Amino acid sequence: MRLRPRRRLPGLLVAAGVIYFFATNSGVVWLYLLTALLLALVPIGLVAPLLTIQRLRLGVVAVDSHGFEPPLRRDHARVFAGDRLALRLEATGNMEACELGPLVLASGDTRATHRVASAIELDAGRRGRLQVEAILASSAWPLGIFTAERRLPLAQTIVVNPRYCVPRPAERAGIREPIGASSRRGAGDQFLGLRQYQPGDSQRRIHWPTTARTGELMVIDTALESNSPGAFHLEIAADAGPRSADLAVEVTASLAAGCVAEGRAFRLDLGHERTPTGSWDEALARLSLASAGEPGRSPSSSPVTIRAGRDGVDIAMGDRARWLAPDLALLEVQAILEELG
Amino acid sequence: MGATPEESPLARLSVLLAAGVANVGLTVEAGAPSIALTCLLLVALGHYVSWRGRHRRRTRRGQVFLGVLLLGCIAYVVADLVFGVFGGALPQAKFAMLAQAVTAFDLKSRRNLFTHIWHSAVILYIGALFAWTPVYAVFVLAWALAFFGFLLFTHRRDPAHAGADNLLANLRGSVRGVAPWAACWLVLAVIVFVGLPRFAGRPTAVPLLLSIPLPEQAVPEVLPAVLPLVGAEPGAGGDQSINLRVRGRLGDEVMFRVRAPAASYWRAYTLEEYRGQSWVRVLRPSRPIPPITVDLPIADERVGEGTSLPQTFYIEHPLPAEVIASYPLRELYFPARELRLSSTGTVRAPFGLRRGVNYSAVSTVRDFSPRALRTAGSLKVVEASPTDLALPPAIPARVKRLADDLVTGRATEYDRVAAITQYLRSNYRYSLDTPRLPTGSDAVDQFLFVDHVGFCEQFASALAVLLRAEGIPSRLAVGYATGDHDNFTGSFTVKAHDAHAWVEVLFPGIGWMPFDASPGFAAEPAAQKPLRWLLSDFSPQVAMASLGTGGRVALGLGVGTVALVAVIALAILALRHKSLSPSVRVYQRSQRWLRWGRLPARVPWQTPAEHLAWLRTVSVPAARALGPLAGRVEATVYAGVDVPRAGTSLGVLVEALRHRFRVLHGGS
Repeated sequence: MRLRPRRRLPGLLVAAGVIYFFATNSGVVWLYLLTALLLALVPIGLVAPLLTIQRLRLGVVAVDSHGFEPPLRRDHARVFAGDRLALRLEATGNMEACELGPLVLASGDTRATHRVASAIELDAGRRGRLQVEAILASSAWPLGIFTAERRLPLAQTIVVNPRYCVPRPAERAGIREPIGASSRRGAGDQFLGLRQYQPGDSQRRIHWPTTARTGELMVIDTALESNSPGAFHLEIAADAGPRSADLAVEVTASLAAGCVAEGRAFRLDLGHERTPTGSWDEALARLSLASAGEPGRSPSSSPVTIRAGRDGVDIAMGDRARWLAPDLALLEVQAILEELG
Repeated sequence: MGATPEESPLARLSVLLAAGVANVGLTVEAGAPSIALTCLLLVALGHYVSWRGRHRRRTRRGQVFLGVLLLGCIAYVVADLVFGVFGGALPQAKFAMLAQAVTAFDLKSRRNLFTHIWHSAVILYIGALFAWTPVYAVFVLAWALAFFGFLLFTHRRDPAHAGADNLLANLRGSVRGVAPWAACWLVLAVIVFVGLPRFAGRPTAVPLLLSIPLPEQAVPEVLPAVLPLVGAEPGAGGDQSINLRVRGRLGDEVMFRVRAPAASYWRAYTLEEYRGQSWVRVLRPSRPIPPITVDLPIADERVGEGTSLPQTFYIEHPLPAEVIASYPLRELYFPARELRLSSTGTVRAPFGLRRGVNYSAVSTVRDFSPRALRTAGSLKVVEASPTDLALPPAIPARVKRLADDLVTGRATEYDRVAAITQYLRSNYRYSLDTPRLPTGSDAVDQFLFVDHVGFCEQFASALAVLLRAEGIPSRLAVGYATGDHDNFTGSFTVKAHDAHAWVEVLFPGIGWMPFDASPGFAAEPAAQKPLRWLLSDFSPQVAMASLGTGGRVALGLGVGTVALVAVIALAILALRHKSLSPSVRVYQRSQRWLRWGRLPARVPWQTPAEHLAWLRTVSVPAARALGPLAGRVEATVYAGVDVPRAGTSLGVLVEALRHRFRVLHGGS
């Protein structure tokens, strides 16, 4: 805890001193009384913020986000890069009397916040894991003579996903998830496995025996038999800039999302890992944390290769290739991917 | 986003309340209701105008207009002071109230509001000088509560869209939870008030007198102790004699008030020559003394010794020109260009003491114990003035015989004086209804042997005559008894019926000591030692008289103390600024550029990020320029990290900001 005087303290002391000087000179009892009243403000201004900040306890009850509208409806509850986050807090103590922010991250960095009622808003920033460790709280209530500051623990981990688009090849343009059931994952005949129910899944897909056994809603995951799994190889060079790396991840996520939207299985090669075929959730989580310099598997096994370099992103799809500038917007990426087919 | 403190109606109402309380308090205690009411209405109007125009920038024309109005206030006060155009009462108070009314029209920033509320404290101070009853505590507390509210409301943000409709809701929200702290504050204030060291001995600094050559019609109604001005008015002196044959009925009107830490008789002058039916003042040579006099040279007195008794007098009723004070005087601060001091210690002003005249005096409280007085030197070595021993030749012999009988067996002068005093107090009745003194008879003889009843002048005359019969120098002192004491304010209210006469007796080597033979009054009415407040002994006692050119030095000490406090406060602020990291300093500079560019600068309750979000709604390019710096400042201030980012130096940021603002504002 830290305590520091504010600018009004010297003014208050000087005023009390001057009035006391006059009091001693004139012997007027009212001036002694006025001096006492002014001086007594100082300890109140010192103790009140200390106790206020000492009694404050905070906890996060919910995390809301707004900004990016994911093309796949199932992702509406996720946090995406660039979103505006709102951590809804519950407090013990007088939170109204305190200033909150910024957040202290596990990395030691701070993240600026803006308080709205009982929530604090912040920018989600880049994709990755946002590990909140604490929040800096301060209070000068009620008189603003001293400010007491304290670092309040506020453990919260938020996965910030990369943004993505759903490229629409010309022949399927106008079909967007979840408008057409056939374009959705689980709409085909090829059995992929069982997975948890997610909003948007058809009730007809619920596998009741497994649901009864596990106590959780489970659905049958299938893919169109006619669609062959897509395979994407992502490589982020060690000297890739952050924007290039993010762009490469966004491109990869968009390609995978395209497969999901079409109900096709896909595979993602990244580093030594390979996500289970068709597991969008795991793919997105892995892409969120993809970092530069990770060694890749042999690109020969993947027909689509995305490589983030220092100056941009190279995409190779069979015999077609394209270089993307790092400052490309998502809509432009979508157009390019649709063009590449 | 909440309303800024400058926009908080509650903060502004607190300031208005403080101003109102101070004005009303001054009016109640010191009068001048018309000017106070006018100023109060102007202050309220000014607050309304300031509130409406809080978003408008100041114009040069408006500032000049306000300056002219302030000059008008000064002209008003000077005209009132010098020529008495508007009655001449309370010129400083009028100026303070008028200036506050003028500045109320220009309350834009929080600093303006602070200045305004301190201005009301000055008015409260002036009112306090004239406050004689505990009622004024209500005004002091009300002002303090308004100040408390001001600190609260200027620190806390009102909810967004705060307006008159939401005023009560905002008020409830603001004071919620504050009440216990306010109660603690008041309790703590009482403790501090009780324990605050007080200078019971003497003032810490001499009053600041401004010597202004005023014309004759000037009215010297001024403030005491700290800010008196010097005026001059020729006036008639008081009576030169007392007729013992008559005594008028005295009323209850207040003659004057005294603020002093101890009780005393307030002496005006002495009468030395007894003529059988009256006392007459002997005209003795007097010497001029300046209005500020330290170490008054009074004959037969060692005024430098003993405890100091500071007094401040507020004349409420016309009095003679003799300066009233506890005897003997050591220092005098009187609003006149020149006074005259007689060898009897009587100080005479150049004008009669009219209502509104205020002055300060410091007297000496001597050791009045029987032990000290018994050690007084022998009468033989005293060169007493013959007039202090003279008796009329026609005084009956039985008076002398009575005196001899009373002092038989009394070895010391004190014992003789005490014996005669006690005899008179025990054997005669005090009454204002006395038989008429027959023509040709001696007043003392009539009182001692015929009437056996009398009032203070008979008792004092009898004591003085009996003492003179025994060869003890004595004289009749005229003035006022102690009066009604208010324990809380430490003031004495002296009314007409407190007019009194007593005897001063010369003790060789000690001085003239007062004795009072009147029953019902103190037998030995010398000034008591000043009351000591709790912890007063820990306060520094400056021996002002020993400082040589004491006035200037003492004034220097006082001013120096205030200056030292101010310097320390400024040094703290400067050190705080210097200890700021470079990025914070650059950030502060950037805020100035924003102001110059008429863009919203950060207000104190905003974090840099919040300010950035606000700025973005007004100017995206400016926000983009400031963005990196705001992030660095947050990291510096909140995380204690101030490491320049790779490839980005402060200079680059500064230059980028400059460039952005230049572009934004057309290269200005």
